[in-house]
Amino acid sequence: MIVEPHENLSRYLFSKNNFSQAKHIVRYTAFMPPPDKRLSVFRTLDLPEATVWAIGDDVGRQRNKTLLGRGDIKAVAVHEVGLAIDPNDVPPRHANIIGWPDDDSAIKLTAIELAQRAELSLK
Amino acid sequence: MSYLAIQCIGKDCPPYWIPSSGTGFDETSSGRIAITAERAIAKLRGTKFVFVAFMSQGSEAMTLGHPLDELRNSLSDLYREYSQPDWDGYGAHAITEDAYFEAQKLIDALPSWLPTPEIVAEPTGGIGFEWFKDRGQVFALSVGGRHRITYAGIFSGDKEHGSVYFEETMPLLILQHLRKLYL
Repeated sequence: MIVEPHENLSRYLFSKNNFSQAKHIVRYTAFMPPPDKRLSVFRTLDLPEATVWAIGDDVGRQRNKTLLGRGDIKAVAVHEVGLAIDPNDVPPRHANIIGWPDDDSAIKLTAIELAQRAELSLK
Repeated sequence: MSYLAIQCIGKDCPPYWIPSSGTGFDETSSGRIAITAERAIAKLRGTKFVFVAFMSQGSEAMTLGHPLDELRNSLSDLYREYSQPDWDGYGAHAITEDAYFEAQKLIDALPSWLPTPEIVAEPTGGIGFEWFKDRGQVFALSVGGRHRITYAGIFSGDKEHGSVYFEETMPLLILQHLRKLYL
């Protein structure tokens, strides 16, 4: 399964730490990977807005969190910063952003670059 | 006897926490304190920033309109809010106590000319300080209680990242990057 460059990837946000409502930006912390270096996103190209939010609500329910918003980036942006996308489809439309560097500061820079390319939508 | 200390803050002013001598007041003379503060502030008008500290003998300094106090309050709030694991829904580590204490030291080391950063929790358990000037102009650093500052920044196309040792004073390399953002 190939993720096309123009595809939209949604990173769901469950903590207000990860975005700024005042500046209307996604913070770099939203794109810092977990210890397994697999950053969870969903492929939401061509989905109605209500469906995109419904997927996020479902993710929130599973994680016992309230969906606050999402950060949308294009797949091409992930490649531009040197990362890759692994579309495992578990659950449907789920993918992981992989290929992170080992160095912590390089990870931080990559997360900043992804956040710079992201569009914030608030619930 | 209580003391009133007034210090200017601007591009070339000394850092926040240089002890200043002040004028002694009877603790009940609030009117004299207000008038003296007003005159002092008038003299300092024209500097970029002014703060006023009122110190009572044997008590901690109380500052009025001091941005570092707000930053310290933000840090305390952050530590309280993100001291549980999985605060982001993606398995984030709780902010560590070591990171919290190191962040306090970092706040003390911030130069007076620098705009106040946003303090954020990182999923690693560290505490981040972010200066967001504009899209394409961002600098972020973090501490995790291990005497290291990890930093990264984008400066209108230029990119920098790395880590430096941190004990008490702000490393010169960090100041250079922050100057690149603001000066």
